[in-house]
Amino acid sequence: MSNTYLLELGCEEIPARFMPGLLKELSEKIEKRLVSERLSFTSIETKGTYRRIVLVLKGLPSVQAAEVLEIKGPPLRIAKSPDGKFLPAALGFSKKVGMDVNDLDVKELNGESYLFASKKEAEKSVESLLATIIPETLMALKQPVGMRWGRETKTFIRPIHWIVSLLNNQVIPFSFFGIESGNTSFGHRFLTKNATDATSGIEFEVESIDSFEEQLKSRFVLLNQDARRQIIKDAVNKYDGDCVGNKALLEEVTYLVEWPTPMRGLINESYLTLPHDVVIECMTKHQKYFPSFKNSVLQPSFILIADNVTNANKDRILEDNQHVLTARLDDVAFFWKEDAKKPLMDRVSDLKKVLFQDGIGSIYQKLERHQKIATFILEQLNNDKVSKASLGSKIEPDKLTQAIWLSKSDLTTEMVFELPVLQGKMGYEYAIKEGVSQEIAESIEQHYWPKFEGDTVPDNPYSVISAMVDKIDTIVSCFYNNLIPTGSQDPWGIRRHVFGVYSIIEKHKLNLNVKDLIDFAYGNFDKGEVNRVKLDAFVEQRIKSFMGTRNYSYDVIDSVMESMWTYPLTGFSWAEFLMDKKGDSSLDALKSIIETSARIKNLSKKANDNGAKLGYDETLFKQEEEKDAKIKIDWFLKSVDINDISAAYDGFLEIIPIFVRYFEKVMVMDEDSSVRMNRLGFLQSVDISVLSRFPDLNKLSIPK
Amino acid sequence: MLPSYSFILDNTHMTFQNIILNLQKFWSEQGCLVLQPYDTEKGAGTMSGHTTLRALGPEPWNAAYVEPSRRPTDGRYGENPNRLQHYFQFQVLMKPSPLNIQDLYIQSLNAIGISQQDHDIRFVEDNWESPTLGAWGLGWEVWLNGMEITQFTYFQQCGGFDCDPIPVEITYGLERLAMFIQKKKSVFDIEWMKTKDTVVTYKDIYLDFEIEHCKYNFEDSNPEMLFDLFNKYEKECKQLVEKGRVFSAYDYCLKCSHTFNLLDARGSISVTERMAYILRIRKLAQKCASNYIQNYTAIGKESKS
Repeated sequence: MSNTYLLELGCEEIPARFMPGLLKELSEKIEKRLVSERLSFTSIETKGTYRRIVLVLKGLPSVQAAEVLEIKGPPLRIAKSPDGKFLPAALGFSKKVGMDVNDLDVKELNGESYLFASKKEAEKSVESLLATIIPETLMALKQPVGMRWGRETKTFIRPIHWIVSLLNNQVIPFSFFGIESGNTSFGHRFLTKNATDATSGIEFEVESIDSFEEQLKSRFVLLNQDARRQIIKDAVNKYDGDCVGNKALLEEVTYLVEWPTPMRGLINESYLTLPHDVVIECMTKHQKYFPSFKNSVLQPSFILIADNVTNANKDRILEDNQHVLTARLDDVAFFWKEDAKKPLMDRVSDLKKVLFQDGIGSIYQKLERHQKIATFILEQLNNDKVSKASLGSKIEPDKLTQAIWLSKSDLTTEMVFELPVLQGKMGYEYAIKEGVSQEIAESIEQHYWPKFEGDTVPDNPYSVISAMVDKIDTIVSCFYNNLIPTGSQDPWGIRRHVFGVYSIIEKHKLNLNVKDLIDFAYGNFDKGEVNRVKLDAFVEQRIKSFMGTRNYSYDVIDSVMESMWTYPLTGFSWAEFLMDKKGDSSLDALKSIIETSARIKNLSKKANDNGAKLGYDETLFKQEEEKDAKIKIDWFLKSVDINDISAAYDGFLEIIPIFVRYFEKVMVMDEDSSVRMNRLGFLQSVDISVLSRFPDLNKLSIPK
Repeated sequence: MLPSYSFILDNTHMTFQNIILNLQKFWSEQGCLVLQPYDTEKGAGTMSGHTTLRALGPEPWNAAYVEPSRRPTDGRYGENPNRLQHYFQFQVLMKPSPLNIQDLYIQSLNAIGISQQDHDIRFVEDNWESPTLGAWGLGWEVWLNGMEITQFTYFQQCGGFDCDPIPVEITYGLERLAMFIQKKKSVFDIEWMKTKDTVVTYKDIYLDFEIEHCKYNFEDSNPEMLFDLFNKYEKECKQLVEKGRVFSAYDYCLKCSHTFNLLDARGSISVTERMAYILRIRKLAQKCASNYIQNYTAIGKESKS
């Protein structure tokens, strides 16, 4: 017979943000447990609202599946005498497994006969199993913020008030936090009325599991979250609201209501003279309203999803909600007016009182470091023609200084204090309002970009440098200050910041040496390079995953790792180039480069362990091949632009045949130590002047 | 002219004082002690010993009281319709938390003329933490047609100690409630008392008080003296704690907290100092809490016997 089980856990308001995860986890944990208890099922469903967690199991058997345990006993030769009598070894075993000695089996294992007990496990009924499985699984749910209440000593997400636990129509009894399970549920808190209290809603007996959802519906509870979400979505769309940009809000609101009743509210059009992001933030963040748009322009209206609406109270509810939003907008309008009285530049010194990190000091001190790093970056870029072409030549140092010092100036405004998520955005608005140039105003907002992986990279040069220095300084500060990200813990968003640094370099073709930048940023602190090894390992890991998102293969990433640290731009180009070469039908050229450079590198290492330059004297060259090699290398260094990757590659290809002959004819490890050292010195110089400019090709995996 | 007392418990005239009287009456009927405000400046009703200390230990405790609260940094010279540096909270603490506490709370709203049938009442997650008190709890803010009117918290820790059993704290924002009930747009328009021919508003009583205190908090206070006081209060608290005095020590802990808030409003506390000051106050609060547990709860008595 196939059985259906229903659980409804009635709670005080469960935080909406936990509901989706809670339902998913319950479903996964129950499935695991059913499998381990040998209970088959056809479906597991979880549903819920802020006030109830519901689980429906279908297709359960009446008893768990049979299981025969095979227990190996002693070998037959010591268990039974030749005349067929059981010996003490057999009797001991039968006692241990609790079976009559005559019921034991004999089985062969690796040519030896053993006594075996085939023990059939007791088959427990589904009723008795559920009575333990359900409370144990509920107790095992992860609780991001579990709480105690009353005299309870254990924690749960919120206090529990009732439990419905039914197998078909029969109550499966168990007790959980002192509440006995039964078949009584409750309707909507306020839309139905209980005889005895003000908040429980009407009490009712569950008639059948199949009709449970309908029974709830007739008592103003829409149990199915998908149905509630759809109602909200439809209403938001109908009133020109935005669900797409407010996915998290949609999910939250879905679990803030049992009986969603959408309403359209209006605000005075004059509030649209405020920055629209401010108005939207007031609607969504504080009030959980959906903003509405026409042709992408914010409208003076909003969509409210209420939960306790009747014909009698709907006007009051709407009117009050409009009033609350209006009061909030009045508040921010006041901030908008007051904040503007103090120009952003005058706010900079107030940043001395705003903490960046405990142990590191204020935001003001952070900006002092930004200024130094920015100057350093500007020097690097000015000395490089590639970067200069894309950015550097356009940057005026005075304006850069202005961008750096204004970047955090909005943190002391009332508006950002009230709506922190608008940091940067408000800086832009206030800067424009007070007549700061467009690109500097933009840089206040954009220096936080990219805010997440795949987010927009800042575009104007001041934004770019301001964004770079903020990220570099935050990364180094955190490691210096022992705030090192671990596993899932990354409160300062260091992972994102490293991605940001590389996204900016990639997009704007900045020829920046990341290692030097980090060295420099460490130089801003007085206790030396605290946690430098950890920082390097962390960044390297991030480089790998960043390059992974660009679809470079692991061996290519490994081979360009050194450049990703020193000159990422070269690293990107080489990675691109190598991916391309690896895809060629003939890999002969690539293979010959790898082989030859590996040989040179190995010998170069013998020249001197610690990498110090050995040097050589070309007048000591005895063989033609040595002289040819030297001529070719001189040609390469003189005529080939090493920054032009494909030219460098082709140039190196021309060197190969010369070195192939070199290694055929020249005995590098000559018995005469002066000859030997001279040759090693030459190869070392080839390694340093040429090969070190190439990726580490030995890391490439090439099919043989 | 004296007001007519027949109005006091009349739901149709929910003046500020009637709201308070009705809440007191309601919670009194639920077995709460109706206590009086505690006479030391503090930032919130929670900081009264009636909550902070009584939340500790196994002894049951049910109390309700009005608490004047001071937040110097929130002052706006009486120009903002929603912000004050001195305002009133109505505080309820029940230990252990009764299972029907949400229901009692809704009934208390009925008692001040707010019916759950007429409004959209929601319990929206909001967890509470006080770094200075070493206290935190889980619960909600209660929304009334979109407006936050109450903080509802199951205390989990207080003074750094686990609460057992768990107290539940309900904090009504009295001005917010009154503005809602009386449909006022500014806190200063709240009718404190109303008779047939007189209306006394919040403004009449508190506007000048508010403006003067803002001037004091932001402009006139003497930071040098306040720093000196902070150190002296701290020292006094410590010496009292050494002697195992709870209540006298806690007074000085509250004085430290208020002095710190005054310095903060004056902009005299630098970033690096800020956290250090908060930790100094928390240390005092923790010592008071541990003394209270030792001296006045069954846990302390047990450990002594």
